[in-house]
Amino acid sequence: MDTNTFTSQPATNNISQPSSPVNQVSRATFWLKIQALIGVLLGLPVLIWFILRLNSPTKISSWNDIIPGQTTKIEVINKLGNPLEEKAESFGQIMTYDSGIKALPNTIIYDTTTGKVSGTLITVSDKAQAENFYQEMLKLGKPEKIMYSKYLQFSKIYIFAQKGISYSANETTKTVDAIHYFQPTTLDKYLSQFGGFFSEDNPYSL
Amino acid sequence: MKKIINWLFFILIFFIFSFVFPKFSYADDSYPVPIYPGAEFIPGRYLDCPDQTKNPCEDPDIHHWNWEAYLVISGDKWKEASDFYRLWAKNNNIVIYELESDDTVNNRNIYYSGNRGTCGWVATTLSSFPANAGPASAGDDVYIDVRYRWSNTPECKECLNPDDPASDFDKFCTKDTYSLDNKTAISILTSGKYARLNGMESGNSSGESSSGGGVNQCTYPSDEEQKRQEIFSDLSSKYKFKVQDSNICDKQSCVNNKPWSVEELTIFNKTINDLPQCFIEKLDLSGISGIREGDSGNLFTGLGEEISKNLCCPKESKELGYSFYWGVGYNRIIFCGDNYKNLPYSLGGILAHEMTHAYQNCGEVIQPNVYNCTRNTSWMKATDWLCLPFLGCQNSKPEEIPTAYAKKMMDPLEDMAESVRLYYENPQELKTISPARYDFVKNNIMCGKEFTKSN
Repeated sequence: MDTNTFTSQPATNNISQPSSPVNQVSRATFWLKIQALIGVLLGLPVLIWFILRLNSPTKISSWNDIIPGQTTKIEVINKLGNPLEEKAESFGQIMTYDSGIKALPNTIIYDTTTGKVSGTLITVSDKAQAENFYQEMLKLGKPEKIMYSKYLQFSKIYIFAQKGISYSANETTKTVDAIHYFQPTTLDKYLSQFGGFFSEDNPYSL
Repeated sequence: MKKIINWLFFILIFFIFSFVFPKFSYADDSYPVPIYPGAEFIPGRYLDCPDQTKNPCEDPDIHHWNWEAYLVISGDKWKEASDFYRLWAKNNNIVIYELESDDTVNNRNIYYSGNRGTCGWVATTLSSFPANAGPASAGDDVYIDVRYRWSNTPECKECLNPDDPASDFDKFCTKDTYSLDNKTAISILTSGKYARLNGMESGNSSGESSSGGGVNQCTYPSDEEQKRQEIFSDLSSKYKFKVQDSNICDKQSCVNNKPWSVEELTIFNKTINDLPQCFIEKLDLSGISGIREGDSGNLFTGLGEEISKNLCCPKESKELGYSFYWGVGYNRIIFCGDNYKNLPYSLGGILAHEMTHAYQNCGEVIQPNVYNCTRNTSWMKATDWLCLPFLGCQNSKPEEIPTAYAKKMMDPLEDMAESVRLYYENPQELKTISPARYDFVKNNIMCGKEFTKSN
């Protein structure tokens, strides 16, 4: 009976009484769980975003959404129209398009077997763009290799093989005059294909 | 309170996730942020520093690395000189603080090197400043006063006073780790980096006060000098560009530079007078200068760097001369050596070649691409050139490329410059090798003027 009386006491009476150790532990655990849950809810998306960001494949640099290794020749023609010229070179088949500078047309290199673009060579004709590209280049970090251009006396070639991009730039005027987009590769592979177009030393003597 | 602490803990975790990790992921942003770049400890040329080996970032003794330098730039062309210094500092990864930014009241600017290091590092870095090569030329009045100072704690900003041997420097030098005596200390403060750009006066000011004296002077025999000045005067009265001696007496002395001889200036005068006015008027050219004996240059490497450090040729330069264009005031022709005498080029011919490059600049201040100009594209069309970005140029009639150098370069702009050189030096040869080039040069570049004999 006493026991019943005891157990039938209104719960509100318990408020003024000290909690038992068991109740204290369960309450603390409850709040801890709530906090952990909120913490996880808040932190998890950030963590997932961060992990995804770390593991996401390197974004391939591209011009006009023509992505080396993905875009096909037909897609290029659909996008840019018929080329000014199409011909075979030692490194692949090329199509040329107006760049704004008659003497240096934009050039698309594609693989005849796969029909996919392997690289785009872009001439920069606008001064403001040329300066912006130079700043973008600086943000890429230290180039894997720097060589000399063979057709522009004061330009050097800044090669970022693993990032799939090279710049022809003038460090004095801080402008980029041309950009080469390609599939990320090793420096050795890049040089074996294109190194012959550049020079280790300044080739000019006059 | 406990709950608040718990919540704060979770908020903290959240912020760590949100901000710290992504921030650390931008590792590549470090280039070209200058944090003691390279930190090469080459023995200082002007500061005889005892300790030049420690990496300033690792050296626990702040006394070893807390050196810095400041410059005061004043004079008529202080603004141009300030721009020059800004660019130089940027190219050399030197952070600078402008204590007085473009002080137009006092016509000066004061810079303060933000890169601290061992005195050896600071000395080496600042000693490469081409203080006597800036945008000033003969007759201009620009003062660049470079001094070093140190502070014995990060907070202490007591400057060394070059006029007061008993300044903090004495106390510093008595430290066991430094063995500089007072004499050396004074020398450090006044010897190395004072340069006055006033006409031909420039150089270091060994052992003398930085307030004015100690200037090396290049001198010439008076009779020759008189003739030289007459030619300079004749040229400057007729043309908008200046023909001048090299004003780049480097920090060592003037020994590596020599003035133009009367014979050379006479050739310049003749060549410039020979070439038609319509061609000369189209040149983007502010000056023709510089001659250096052999390859004895000892300061600069890298083409862009050498230009930005102004008007000097690198030690390993293979170039006899070059024309470059870098905005107003920097469009110059420089002759890097006198070894053309051993080659099949005449001085007049080289000048014609380089002037053609100045012609190719097409009047734009800075172009991203020199090919973006009808002068050059019409040449390429007339002479069968085709270029692709990065991949260089091809010519469908290579046998008509007129010189060995142009053939080797396979560059239409070099082809044009060589064709103009040949048109002036040996017109009959150009006409024989490539009638198309001869006609183009005659009609489009030389306004119809022909040369009947070799020059």
